[in-house]
Amino acid sequence: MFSILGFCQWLQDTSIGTQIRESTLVFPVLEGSHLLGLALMIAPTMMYDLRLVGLLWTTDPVTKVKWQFLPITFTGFFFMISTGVLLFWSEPIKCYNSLYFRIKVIFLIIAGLNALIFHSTIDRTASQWDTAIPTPTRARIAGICSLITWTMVIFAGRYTAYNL
Amino acid sequence: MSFSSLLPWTIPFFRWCDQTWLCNAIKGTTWVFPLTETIHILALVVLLGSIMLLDFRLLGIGIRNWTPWRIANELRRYILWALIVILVTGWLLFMAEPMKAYDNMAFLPKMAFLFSAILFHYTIFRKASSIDKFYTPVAAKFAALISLFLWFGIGVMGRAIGFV
Repeated sequence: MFSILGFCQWLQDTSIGTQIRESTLVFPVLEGSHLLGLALMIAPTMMYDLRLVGLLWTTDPVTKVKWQFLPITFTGFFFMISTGVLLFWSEPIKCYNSLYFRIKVIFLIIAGLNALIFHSTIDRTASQWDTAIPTPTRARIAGICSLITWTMVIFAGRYTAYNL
Repeated sequence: MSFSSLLPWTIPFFRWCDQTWLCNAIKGTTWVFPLTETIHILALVVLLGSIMLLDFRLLGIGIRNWTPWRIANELRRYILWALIVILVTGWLLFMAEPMKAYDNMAFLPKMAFLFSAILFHYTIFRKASSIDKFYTPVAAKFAALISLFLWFGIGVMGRAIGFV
């Protein structure tokens, strides 16, 4: 029968997982790159969120701000996900048992759902409120939600590494 | 390269730090250090991410609808606040184990990178990022590369502190 723990155990025993775990250099370099990808992704995300909230870039249309930053966000996101997968691969059992990793996954899901809901609803009509100040309540909520959830993801992510 | 091997005459300062009330207070708790380090990382993400946006713009990658001056202007407050938070939390992290920092081979290079980066950022880089044209000259691109090198240097050395 399939279980998450069983999957984690299997993943932990694969040769890639073992090699990353036992390497003295690969793990810290991956962790550093993970953080770099995070910085590359979070800064433009924050810029767009702050535009949605109405605090930054307010003299420019929302859609313009979006397309200025989205390519960089995607680059950082890809970088962060690929290093994140490898980091998880190297110690799935530790992640499975970690309360903070579970919190991190929950906030990642919330962040993803928030983006999905925002882009498939209110963002579709963005051309109608492109320059409106204040921005629509739902756009502001999405921006604040994104800022909070990503902060929590970073928090929980750092705490996962402490073995608390 | 550590303070102990290169600048051994600085030891009275580290010893003094080691005996302060603050140092003992941080050492006496288990939660202050991880919390401080996590806030340090959050500030790092904002600081490094924002500076990377500016560096990439100067290099001609992304955000081409705005001039470097415009971006620098919008980001200035966030960079300054992130820098203040990172310096305060960094100081607290240092005060948690000054003697370890004295002997650590990555701590001295990190401090060297830190002071160079701040100095560079508020002098030459400030001038480079005040260009209010869409086309950036070679000198400004060069300044962006130096900026990336210095800020990445801090990150790499910071990561290395825990491993050497």
